[in-house]
Amino acid sequence: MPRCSAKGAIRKFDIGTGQFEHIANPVTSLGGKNLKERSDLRLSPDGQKLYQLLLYRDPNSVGDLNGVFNQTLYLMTIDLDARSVDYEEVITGDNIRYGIRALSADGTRIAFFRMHQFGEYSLWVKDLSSEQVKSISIPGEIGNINLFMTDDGNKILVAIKDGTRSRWEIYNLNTDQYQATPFTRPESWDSSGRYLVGEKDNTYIIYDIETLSVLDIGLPFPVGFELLSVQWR
Amino acid sequence: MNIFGKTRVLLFLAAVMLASCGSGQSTPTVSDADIMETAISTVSTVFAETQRTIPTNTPLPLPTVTPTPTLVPRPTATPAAPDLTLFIADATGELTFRFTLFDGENKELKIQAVDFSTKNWDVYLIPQNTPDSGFNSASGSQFVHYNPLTKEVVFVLFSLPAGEGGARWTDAPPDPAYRFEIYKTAFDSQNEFVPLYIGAARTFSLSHTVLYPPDNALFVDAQVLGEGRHPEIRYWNRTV
Repeated sequence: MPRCSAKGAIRKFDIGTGQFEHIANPVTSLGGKNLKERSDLRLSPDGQKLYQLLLYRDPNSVGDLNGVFNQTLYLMTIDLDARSVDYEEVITGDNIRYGIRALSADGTRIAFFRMHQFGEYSLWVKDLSSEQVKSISIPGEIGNINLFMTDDGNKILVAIKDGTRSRWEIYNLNTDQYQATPFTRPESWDSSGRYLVGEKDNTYIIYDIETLSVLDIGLPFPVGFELLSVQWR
Repeated sequence: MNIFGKTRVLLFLAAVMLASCGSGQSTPTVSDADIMETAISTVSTVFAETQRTIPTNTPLPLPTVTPTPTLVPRPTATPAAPDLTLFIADATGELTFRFTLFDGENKELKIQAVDFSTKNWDVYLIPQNTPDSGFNSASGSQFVHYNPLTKEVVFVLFSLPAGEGGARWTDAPPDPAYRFEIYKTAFDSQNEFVPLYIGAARTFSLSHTVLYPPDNALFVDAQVLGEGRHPEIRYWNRTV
């Protein structure tokens, strides 16, 4: 997952006027730890809050060349109306793997991995309003560290290793059950959490997780070249 | 600065597009002086910063893994789609891209081919479907944006100094004088790219962008020059 290094600032670019407005600077030190990485941004659907995940590392950790020990992951929430910035601890530990797409739309629930010895992953979900952390069982080995959470925070798309590829399954946090999907490569939930778009057999499909129907939209997937964006509008 | 000229430049594309169906908005012309001025004198807003939680060193234990059965649903034959528009931007070749709008309500596709070779930009794409790196859009940021309210697409081009991977080639050209550029185009504009902003060197660069359509604004993560990583799409203009 592409991430930024420590220095930087959040700005707003007005497409109509071509002007930048400074919004906030993530703090470079929290709880005695230094900012190591910043995730991508996420905007709440109402445009009022901007989210970014910030990973801090222990500067005094001996022999930790890659900065993977004693990390702390924070959620930075910028309230664009109140003009305030809030930092909330998500988790402290070693080898935290995270992504902004594993955050619910209201910023109250987040899924993340921790990598353990021999490359094993454990999957966790934290409810930031209640501070409860839940361990999620995984029916196999993790095949891809991307996680896709629905806007309501009730479902996560998880990649399970299946031979040389991954099969993507939906974990329902309310029922604690996994549901298979047809995707080779998922891209995005719609805002309702009912539809998923992605690739299957080199074509774009939309999958309805309620009726379990697959709609081939008639657009071949560009084999050999990268995808830039998939957006529900 | 002739950005479409024959200077060999290594560029990253973090494209943003916003297409225009007659938004009626005039596009500002940007001179080099204006660019520098704009890049430096941004509006500084003082934010009250609070720290809600004091970090604690409480590592989580390893979970007890209990295999959960996977439900294998039986598919139905009725295709469905939400009443939403789906925007897809992808590459079809080294120099060609494709912008697609899928109308979920009417199940209609509208495709626009985009040819950057008309601007003398060459494209180098880095395959990155490795198991661990994931997808370039999976982190959440999108580098091409479609605004359904203005019918415009917006994209960002990044320059990369010192050649591929930072290793300067023996015949590498001088570093470009700009760090990034923002363009917009109408969906049916026949590859007309309207410049919105050119980020001067030694100011900052953009990394992540998200669009808020009602404000017609991008929220960006602006990095200090030389810091951070850019998207995985690279542009290389081979024409000297």
